[in-house]
This record gives sequence, C-alpha cells and structure tokens, in this order.
Amino acid sequence: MTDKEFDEKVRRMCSEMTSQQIPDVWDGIEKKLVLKRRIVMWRRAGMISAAAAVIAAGFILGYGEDVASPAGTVTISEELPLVSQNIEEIPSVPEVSGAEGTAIPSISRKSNPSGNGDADFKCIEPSPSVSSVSLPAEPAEVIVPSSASESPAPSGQVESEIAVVDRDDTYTVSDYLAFADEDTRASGRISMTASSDFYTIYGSGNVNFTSRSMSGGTSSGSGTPVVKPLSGSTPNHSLPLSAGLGVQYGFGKPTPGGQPRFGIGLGVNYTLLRSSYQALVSKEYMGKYGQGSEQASVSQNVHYLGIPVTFFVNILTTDKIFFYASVGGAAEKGLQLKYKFTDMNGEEFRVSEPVPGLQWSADLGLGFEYRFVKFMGVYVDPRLTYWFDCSQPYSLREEQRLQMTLGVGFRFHF
Amino acid sequence: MSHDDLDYTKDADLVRACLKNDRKAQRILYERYSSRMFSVCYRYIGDRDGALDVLQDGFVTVFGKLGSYSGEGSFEGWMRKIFVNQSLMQLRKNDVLKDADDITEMKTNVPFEDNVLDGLQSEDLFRLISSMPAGFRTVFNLSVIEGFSHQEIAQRLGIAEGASRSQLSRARGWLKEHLALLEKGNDDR
Repeated sequence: MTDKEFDEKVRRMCSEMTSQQIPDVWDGIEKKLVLKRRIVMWRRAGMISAAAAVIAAGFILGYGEDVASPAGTVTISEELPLVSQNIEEIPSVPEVSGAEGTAIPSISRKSNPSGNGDADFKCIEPSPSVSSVSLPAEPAEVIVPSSASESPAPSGQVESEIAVVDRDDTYTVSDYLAFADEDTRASGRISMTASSDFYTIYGSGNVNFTSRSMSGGTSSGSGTPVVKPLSGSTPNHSLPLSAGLGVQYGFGKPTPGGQPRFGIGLGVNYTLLRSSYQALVSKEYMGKYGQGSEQASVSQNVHYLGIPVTFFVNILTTDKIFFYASVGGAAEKGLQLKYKFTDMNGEEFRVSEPVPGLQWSADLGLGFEYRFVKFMGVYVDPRLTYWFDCSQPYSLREEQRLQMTLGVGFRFHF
Repeated sequence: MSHDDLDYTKDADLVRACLKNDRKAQRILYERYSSRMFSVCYRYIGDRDGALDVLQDGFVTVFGKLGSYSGEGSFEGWMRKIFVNQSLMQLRKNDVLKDADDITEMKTNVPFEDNVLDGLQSEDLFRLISSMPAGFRTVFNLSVIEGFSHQEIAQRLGIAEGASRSQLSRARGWLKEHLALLEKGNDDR
C-alpha cells in the first residue's frame, strides 16, 4: 500500500467518525454569548465616553474662562482698525511698579524674581490632568437588554436553561477582561486613539522682540506693533493644553508578536497656548477712547486645531507590551487669537482676531503601549517636536522651537 | 431534546436565524454539529477536556463570525475550518507545538500489512491518531485529513516546509507501527 493509498483510507475512516456521546456544553456557550454581547456594548460605551471626555476637557479648559466676563469689561469680538501711531515715540510711559492690590480677575500675582519691583503675572494654569479620559464603565453598570426579551421565548427545557443564564448576572470585571482578552476579533489592524499631549517646557521665557512673528495680529499697516511687550518684561507661558482623537491603520508583515510591522495614523488635535506679559498697547486697539498707547497686562490665548499624520514602526511586540518608533508631522490652523488687556485701573478689555496661515511641525519619537486587554491599551509617546517658523502669533513655540512632548492616551483596537 | 424536527431543516435558514441572534436557532445549530465538530477538536487536541473547551470557544467564534459566511460552499466545511483554527490556537497557546521536533528517533519505513486497516474500527483509528505526539498529530491532521499542502502547514504552524514533510513522514511511521501493534494484540487474543 502506497503512502497515498494509506492516507486516503485513513482520511475516509476519520471523516465518517463522529462522537455520539459528549457532555452538553451549551450552557457555557450561551453564557459566553451573553458576555460577548455585553463586551461589545461596553467597548462602544468606553470609546464614546473617552472621546467625549477628551473633547469636553478641551472645551471646558479652553473656553471656560471666557464664559463669564466681569462687569465693567469691554469685549470686542470684531477686528478693529489698526492704529498708525508709532508707539515708540510716546514719551514717558510709566513702568509698572508693584501693582499691589490691583484686582485682576483670572490672573494671579507672583513676585518678580528679578527683584526690580515690576509686577509679574502668570495665568492660572489649566490642570495638566487631561488624562480625564474615562475608563469604560464598570460592567455591572452596563445595562443590557436580556436576551430573553429580544428573542421569542423558547419552550421546555431550553427555556428554563436560558432563563437561568439571563438571571445569572454575577460576572466580575475579571470575567469581562479575561473573556475580552480571548476575543480573537479584537486584534485587527485598525486602532482608535484618544490622546493628550503634555509639554515639558513652560514658565518664564525670554521674548525675542525682533522676531517677525511677534507682529502676528498685532501690527499696524506700517508694521508697527500695537501690542508691544515691555523690554525687561518676563513673559509667562502656561503649560499648553493639547488633546485629540485619531485613527491608525496597521500594515506590513506581522511581527513575531503577531502585530502589523508598520502603521499610519491620522487625527485631529486641539491645542491651547496661553501666555501673559506686560506690554504697551494701543488704546484704539483695546477699544478705549483716545490715542497713543498705555501699559497693560496682557493675557493671550491662541487656539489651534491640527491634523497630525504619523508613521509607526513596531520595534518589539509581545501580547501585552509594544515598543515602537514614530515619525510624523502636523499642520495646525490657528482658530482664534484672544487678548485680555488689563489696564492700570484694573479694567479689562478683550480683543479677538483670526490667525492667518498654518503652523507646521515635525516630530520624531519612541512609544510604549501596554494592552491590559486585547482591544484596549494605554500608551506613552515621548516625542521631539520641531515647530517651524510660520509667522504665527507669539507663543511658547516661538521661544523654544524644539521641544520634548509627552503624548499619553488610550488606544482601542478593532 | 432535539429541535431538528421543529424547523430549520436547511442550514441556510438556520444561519439566517442565528444571524438575528435567535437563541433557539443557535441551539439547534449546536445540536446539529457539536458531535462532528467535537471529533475534529479531539483529533487535534488529544484529550477530552481540552477538546470540550475548544468546542465551546469554537461555537462562540462561529456565532460571532456567521456574518462572514458567504453562503457559497458547504456550511459544515466553513465551520470545520473555524474549529481547526481554534484547535491550532489552543495548541499554540499551551506551547504544545514547540516540542514538535523533539521525537527524532522514529522509523519512517515500517513494515505494514495492507489489510490492517480493513479490519480496524474507525473508533480505534481515531483513538490512535488522538494519542499521537502533538507535533505528529497536528501535521498529520492538517495534511492527511484536511488536505493542506506542506507550504500551507508551514505557514500556519510557523515551521519550515521540510519540517512539515519530515513530521508527516514520521507520523505515518508512528501510526503504522502502532496499527501493527494493535493488530498483533488482537491476534494474540
């Protein structure tokens, strides 16, 4: 008998074979089906709440301070004609000397380390804990319609078995995580991210007054700035706030850990840059009567919406841990430049104007992701980011074009 | 209690009902195929408890992936692929396949009488295959029963094509040797 004939005979005998007596495992199957259904809902709820939390955090922190304008302030929302007076020529503008007792809403005073008696203001920093991305709700809280109510009521023995399963709602978080971990559908190539970027640099800076981007949105037609930072003033930059959502697609030959070797990500990102400094500001620009300039405390917010594109290479992957390198870039459009001027009398004036052009940046980084279940992981992306000079409003990025940023967030895998 | 006599005599109707999460239809599908699929799992896993675990997970996967069944080809064949994959995953998970090359001293040209298989019960053959070493059993099942090529087996198991060929050859030798022993035992009795 040849090997081929032997194989054929064995194959024929085996295909006839069925096991007549096996224990009924239907209960276990049904239990897992119910669990699986809940996990799908739980996963959806988690993703929606994470996305909502990131977006809500952005809006609350970004726009929260503008919700209530104190009485007596003037809010100017439209672009004003720019003054043509050269502020350089205005004589004897008094230096700020200890504006003690001056009530400036939303700005906290702190002593000037230079010791020259000049007031030094710092915006109240937004809470850096943008990791308010909420974890999926506790499974026990997920309300799932019972399968008995969805399908026609079975009869006889099956009915009683199903009813028992439906009442049996004793799954623990570990049950859900363990089962979700076994879910083979959850290790696909598409991922969704909810992220937040932390900047490692903030605080006082040194304004480069000769920089052309200092004139962004603040110059007259003659090129004279209408908001001119005082020489000797030390600007303060709050910790930038950045949050976003993104989608990643994995491709290429799988790594030994079974993950795609490469990935490309596209997203949308919101960033708020806050700075405060002392400046000579055109009265007309502020919306006050009269000509010339006067000294004011300037609190400045720039809102950006960006589209980051990133290319990933998985370096080392295991079931739970992923190390990867990334290179990418982003184009950011300034949505609005908002000024709040506080004059010597403590009166506030607000001006906002559009931001022309785009801010381009490039970044290079290494990342680490830990997947506590197959479909969800938490990641940390330390990145070196370079912001190109694109004539954008003065900000922290102007002072430090190359910065280390730390992206953290959740990734959901499909 | 069997539900086959109630309705859903055609697989296509059963699949449609299962896609609507009809628990009764799912149970009928389970009852119709569980024993055949258990045989597949048992042949790969080699022990009853392990095979029952795979059977359970396999059915959960089947119900989850029913939407991807195109309707072309045999439904049983489609299901069978899922159970084979599920079994392979289980073997990989338990690191059973890493020892596949351990048995090197195995005769490949075993003297074998042609009529041994004729007098053999299917159950005995099935039991012998299930008791093969894991590496032999897996390659033998994939090649002889499922009909995969050595290239496909090598890809699925992450081994070289040559290793697949040699495992099959040794598995055949192992089976022939044990069939001969079984025959001899029967004759002695």
